[in-house]
Formats: sequence, C-alpha cells, structure tokens
Amino acid sequence: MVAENNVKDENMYPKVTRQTLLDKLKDGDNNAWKEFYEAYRSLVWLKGQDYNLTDAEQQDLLSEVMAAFFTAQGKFTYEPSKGKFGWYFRKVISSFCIKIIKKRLPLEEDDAGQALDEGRNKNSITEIPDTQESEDDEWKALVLRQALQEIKQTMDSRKVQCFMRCRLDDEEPGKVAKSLGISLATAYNYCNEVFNELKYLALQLKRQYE
Amino acid sequence: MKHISEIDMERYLDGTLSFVGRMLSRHHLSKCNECAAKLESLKKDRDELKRLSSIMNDLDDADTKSYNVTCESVTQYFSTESAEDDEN
Repeated sequence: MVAENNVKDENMYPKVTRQTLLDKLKDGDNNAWKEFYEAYRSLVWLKGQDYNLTDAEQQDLLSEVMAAFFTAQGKFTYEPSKGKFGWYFRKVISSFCIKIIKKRLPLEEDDAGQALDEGRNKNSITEIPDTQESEDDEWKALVLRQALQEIKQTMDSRKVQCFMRCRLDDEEPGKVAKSLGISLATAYNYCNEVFNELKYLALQLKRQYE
Repeated sequence: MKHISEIDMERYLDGTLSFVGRMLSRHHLSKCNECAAKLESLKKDRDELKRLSSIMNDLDDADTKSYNVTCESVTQYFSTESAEDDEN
C-alpha cells in the first residue's frame, strides 16, 4: 500500500519543506527526543511482546533502546552509514530483546545434569521467534499510523471520519453516509480523497527513513 | 469502451452497486484487462490496509501498556536532560 503506484503527482502540490523527526534530532532539538520516544515506544513494546518479555524486562528494553540512540547529553547518535533508519531501529530492538533473554537465570540442574524445572524451558534462548515478516508489517503499520495522525490534523474531520468508519472500522458506507448527512457518492469521494492522501503521506514518511 | 470509474470500482468491491451496475461491471471486467488490473490493485490496497489496521490497534494497545508501566530509568534519563535545559 505504500507502493508508488496511484500516488498523486507531487507537482500538483506546493513543495513544503518539512523538517523530519530525524533532522530535528540531528539538529539537537530538545523536544524532538520526546517526540521520538512517544512515536516509537509502542513499536519497542510490541517487539518485546513478540519475545515474551515480562513487564520488568519491557522497561529494560525501552531504556536500552533509547540509550542506544541518545548519549548521556541527550544527543542523537544515529549515523546513516549504519543503514536505513527503520531497518537499523528494528535490529537494535531485536538485539536488545535477545540480550535480555540471555540475562535470564540459567536452568538449575540436578546431580545428573537434568533440568529441574521444565517449565522454565519456555524462557530458553532457543525460543527466539522468527519475526522478520512481522517486523516489516509492524514498521509499515507504525508509518501508516503516523500518516493517519497527520491527516487527522490537516484534513476535514468529516472526511477523515468517513474514511475511518468505512475503511478501518468496516461500517457499511450507506449507513456512514446517512449518519454524516451526506450522499453515498460523497462518502465514496471522501474515502477516496483521504485514502489517496494517506498513501501519499505514508510514502513520504517511508522515504524519510530510507 | 467506457471504463469503470474509481468510485464504481469501490462500490463493486463493497457490493453497493445496483444489480444492473454489478452485472455491467462484471461484464466489462471480463473484457478489459486495464480495469481488471486496477480492481486487483484496489483490492490489494484495501486488504493491506485492513491487515495494517489490525497491527495499528496493537500499537495503540502497546502505547497504553507502555504508558502505564513506570519506566523510571527512561523518564529519569529524559528528566535529566530537561533539567539541564532549564538551567541553560
């Protein structure tokens, strides 16, 4: 959906210089790190869930990931030479998840070397999930969510509401149109307009992280 | 040959076209590769949106859970930076 097909012609719209979050962080904008934390903590948490981390471990994970990107002076430390930001960010999360799992206490053994508590096997480091496919989808969803948040602030609220109810909540377009006091044709136009804008914004955001 | 409009394609997928509209569209789609490809692309976009929408709900849940869990070291880390800014 963030593919480049059917995206509106960029020349139709005035080019607005929009400082990306990464640019603001590199410029040392002090509020940007709060924005960074708020934007990405849900993804970090979700990844931690994939690795079955406890709440306490999730706290560690959040701290470790944030500390990996900021120095003690609050300076952003990501260098583009490390790779695309989105890819690098996910790798950092995964590596800290594995590190946290490895910190768990080893299994106690009896004299014969057998594990005393088989229930602890589920915490073994051998059970690291294969998360590549879900990582890509989670990243896409994060980008989409950011695009949607921006659209809610910039587009007509009725149009956005129409789109969200029809396309995200799966309500019948006829019912949505009636409740909003618009024709069915208008409801479809609204959905189309918002969806095209969403795809465009998502593509812009995706490019920022590459 | 008159192609199917984008709105009518949406309505075709939603099942909100009239009976006649649906029959005519189906007939056209069987003969027009361009419209068939556009419909397929539209369907793919919608399916992906639905799939990602479900993950967006998971992210919203994760937001709530991570907000509720006290993250002392992280908030302390950012508070230190904020205090230094206030001093400056």
